[in-house]
Amino acid sequence: MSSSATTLNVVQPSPDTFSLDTLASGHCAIVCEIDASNGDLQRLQVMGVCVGRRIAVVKRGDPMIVRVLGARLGLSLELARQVRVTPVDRKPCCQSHA
Amino acid sequence: MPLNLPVLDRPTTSRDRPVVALVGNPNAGKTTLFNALTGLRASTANYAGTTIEKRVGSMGLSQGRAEIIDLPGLYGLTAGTVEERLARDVLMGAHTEHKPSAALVVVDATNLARNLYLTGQVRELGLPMVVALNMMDLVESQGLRMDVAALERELGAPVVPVSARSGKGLAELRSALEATMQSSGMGEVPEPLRGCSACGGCPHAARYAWAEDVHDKVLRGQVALSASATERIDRWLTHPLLGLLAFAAIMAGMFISIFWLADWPMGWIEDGIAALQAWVGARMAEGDLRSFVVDGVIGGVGSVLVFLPQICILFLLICLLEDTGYLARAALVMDKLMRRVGLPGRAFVPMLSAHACAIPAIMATRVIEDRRDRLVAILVIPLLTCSARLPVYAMVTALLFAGQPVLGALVFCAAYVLGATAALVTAWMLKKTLLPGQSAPFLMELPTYKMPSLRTALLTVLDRGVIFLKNAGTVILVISMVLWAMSTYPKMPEDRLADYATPEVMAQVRALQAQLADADEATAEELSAELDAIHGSYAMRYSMAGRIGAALEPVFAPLGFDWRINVGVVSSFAARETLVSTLAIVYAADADAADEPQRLRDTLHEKRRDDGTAAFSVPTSLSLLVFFVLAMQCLPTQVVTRRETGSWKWALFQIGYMTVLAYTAALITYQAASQLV
Repeated sequence: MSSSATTLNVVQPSPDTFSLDTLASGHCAIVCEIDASNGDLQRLQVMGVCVGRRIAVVKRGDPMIVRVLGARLGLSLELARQVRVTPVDRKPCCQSHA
Repeated sequence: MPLNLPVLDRPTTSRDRPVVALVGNPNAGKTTLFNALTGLRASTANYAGTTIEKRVGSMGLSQGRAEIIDLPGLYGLTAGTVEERLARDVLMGAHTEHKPSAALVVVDATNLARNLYLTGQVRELGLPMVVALNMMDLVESQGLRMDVAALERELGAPVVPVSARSGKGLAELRSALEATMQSSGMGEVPEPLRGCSACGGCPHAARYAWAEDVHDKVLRGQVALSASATERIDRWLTHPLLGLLAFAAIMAGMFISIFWLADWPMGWIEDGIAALQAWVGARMAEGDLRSFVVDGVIGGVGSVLVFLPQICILFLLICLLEDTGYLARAALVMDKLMRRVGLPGRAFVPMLSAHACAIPAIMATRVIEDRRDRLVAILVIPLLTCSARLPVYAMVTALLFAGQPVLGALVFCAAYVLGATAALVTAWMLKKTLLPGQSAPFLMELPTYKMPSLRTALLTVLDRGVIFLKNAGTVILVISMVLWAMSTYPKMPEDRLADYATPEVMAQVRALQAQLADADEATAEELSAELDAIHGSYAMRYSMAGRIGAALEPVFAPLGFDWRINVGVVSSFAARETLVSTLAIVYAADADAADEPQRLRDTLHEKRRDDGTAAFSVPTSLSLLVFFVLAMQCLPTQVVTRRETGSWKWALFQIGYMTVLAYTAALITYQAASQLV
């Protein structure tokens, strides 16, 4: 089922991306796209959840806790569902100091 | 002025006094640095036309002083929120006559990449800029090394490592600021940074990439395990079940400490006020002026001051908790529950403060970005039990359950719960009717846990205390004076007593007068006091306040109130805590009885109304309690609501709906209790 197409350019999520809320605890990913409305989009971007950024899940739940730019962020599942990510291997990314 | 720029409330500095704008992320230690640089030479005002606070202070340089403006904490200058637009405006010179002489960017060294985003944006504005690299002591203790020179090269600006908390590096910071302000300019923005804005795609992405790049270049070493101490603690504190339990325990601990700690200073203040009243009273001739000064003015001031300890202690504890970083977790834990009633998790801290006083709590709702969420929070906050209601709770609880402390404590708790429940239910109803919509989804930084700074907390408490006194104090003082006038005038001539008093009371008066005729001096004094008290009680009926109370009898009779309680209710619409002293007077209790709850309770318990029924029966006491839990009886709150929402419409709605709610709930309580008891 595709997401509701209320915007003019309907974007199908890329096949090998996942939404952030499906990521398991401790796993890393890179943000590919964000399907949020303008207000939410800006809020996410200014906190560092932006295309190309590494993001790691610290704790699942609602709200979940993620790590971006080395800072810890709490975000609700509603927002997490709008963030599409590509998982990456754990090793080189998301060391504690990143 | 040639341009139509907003005008500051206070006169701007002349050209000789440089102005430094302080920017940085929230949680970067900006406030601590501001306090360290300015000491007590700071004041809070508002940016003209907004509700955003502006803290301005004066800091010493080697030659003269500079004015330093503490801008609101922000994550970026992209003009998404009101604060961001304001900060950008200030940095571009829109709120002062010219641009600030320098920008001082506070960077949290333990969170370098995230902080560099804002730093990069400020650098691109071209202002003279100095970076204060804060929390360097934490970085060093984690075993990391920071290449400060490399950071300076990347930014093209001076970088000074500091530890705002301990005061290290402040001297170097001051000299760096002076040097930068005196130099001819900042020079070119380094190439990699300049490229960010030029980038066609998402400007954020490029700048973040730059920030992470610089971070990697400049920081060496692995973070020691202590950083993940935060993560370990979080596993418990944000656990769905344990988190809530921990939260409940912390909150309970907080409230208990407040009541326990506040007892002493409250007692001192009350004693002090009483002593002052006695001192002044002894030096003034008997008469209306003395009564005005002693009861109206000093009494009015006293009724405001006595709440200062509870308010200050609550704010102190909240500040300390916030500094540790815990409150962000509390907001996270409460978010899910609160969203069900249409409130965001962020509303939690303001609602907590409301248990001291609604006025600073409503001002604290500024942290809620979404307008709808903020409005709902402002509208329901006064339902939460504030300190001013407590004397009333205590009195009613004693009337109902003297000698049964467990039941008494339960009633007390039930009153608190009623207030909180009413707030949540009202928020839910507002969501369904007047203010529909979902709360903005939760998105908040969870800072690293750290030891709180007592100094910062104390300075904040001082600031908040002053604001409370200015806002509440002035209004309540004026109201106390008006009330004094209303309950003193018109005065009842001696011969009119018979018009109002019952035959039994008149008989009592005549008996007392007869005794007085041939009593010795000691007994005469006692008898006179008793006569005065009776006269005073009916004089109240004759006065303006009493007439209003009598006129309202049909309105409040279904709640079980008589004209005497009505007088108390009406006067407490100005200030809640006056109920106890008003009831003492109007029921002709001993003049001193109001100060001794036990004595007052005993007196009131025995009182009968003119028709013989008990003045404070169980149903009446319960309905009085419920009324006071829910009623809006604090005019300063209306004033603050109007200021924060921008119109009288919401302030009036607030007092309207709360009055209806209080009336209905008290009505139901009285009628139900009358049937059951």
